[in-house]
Amino acid sequence: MNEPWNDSWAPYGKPLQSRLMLGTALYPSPAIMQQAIRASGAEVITVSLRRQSPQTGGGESIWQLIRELNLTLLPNTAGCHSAKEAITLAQMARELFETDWIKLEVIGDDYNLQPDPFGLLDAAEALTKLGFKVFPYCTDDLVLCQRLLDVGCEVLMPWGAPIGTGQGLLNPYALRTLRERLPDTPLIVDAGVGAPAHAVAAMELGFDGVLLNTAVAQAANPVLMAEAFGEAVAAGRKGYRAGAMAARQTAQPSTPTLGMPFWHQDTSS
Amino acid sequence: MAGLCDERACSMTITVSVNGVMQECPLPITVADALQQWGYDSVRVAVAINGEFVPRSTYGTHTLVSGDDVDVVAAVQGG
Repeated sequence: MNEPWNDSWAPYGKPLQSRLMLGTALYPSPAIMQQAIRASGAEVITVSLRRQSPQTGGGESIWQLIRELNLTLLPNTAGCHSAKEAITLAQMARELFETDWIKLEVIGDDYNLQPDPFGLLDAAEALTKLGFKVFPYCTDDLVLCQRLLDVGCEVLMPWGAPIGTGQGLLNPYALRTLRERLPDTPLIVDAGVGAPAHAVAAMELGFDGVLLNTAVAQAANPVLMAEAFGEAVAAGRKGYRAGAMAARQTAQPSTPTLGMPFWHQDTSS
Repeated sequence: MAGLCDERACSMTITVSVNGVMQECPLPITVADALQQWGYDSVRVAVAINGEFVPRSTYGTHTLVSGDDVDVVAAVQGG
């Protein structure tokens, strides 16, 4: 374990202090997005690519805002429904954002935006061979996660709940199992986190980080919520490292009973 | 309209799809020329043709053919 004053981590060798990764979408305004990201302390932010017409500026304004933040970029392949689509979009992202990091999304079901494990695995293998550093957005299935590691992923990003639902960690058993069975793999809960308490819970399970977007961007006060999530992730991490006590069934006083005043030995019997 | 070939200046044109919109171009035309014609010359974009990534380094040599399905993407906010 790291010393208390040094709890950095290094997904794909990139040293980071913050364990919160933040999305850049859905904010009330670009200015609030910038303020929220800065307030969160996040060092990694997610971005994406979409068709643009030159008449609308072709994404230049967003690109400038993102560059001003001077943070590590994690482009995604959001919306891709096949390995081929995801591979092509990842290559476009690498060129445009000048990074080989890719948050790999291959969606298998539009109702709950559940990752397609088969397409995801195919795309992860192909992209790894092309030199990408793949952050796969995956389900919490242990065998899928093991296969993703087999094809070269060094980081895994299982969902807590479907994207944008804010329901928190729906399957703590599966997430705990991943942590126990893959003790040396950086694990990031991605998607479904709705409240700071969910981020604390993920970190207390021993996860290495949390990635979220909607919970901050659509909070009543996104900047304040971003700060809250930054603190929640840090608190949960410290709690995990400190080692929580074991839960007990019965009460046990925390104040010493020895020396309690008003106590008299019962001599009636 | 940007992208339409002036019939007096070129006798042969091709039709390609640009982000889902049909456009006519003079023949031959490279990706670099097409991006300039469509107004993307000062915009940071990435390109795929028929679902395959086209590296920026090949824009000057990659020639469009009729029926090509061209995707031109730029940075957006994402989660």
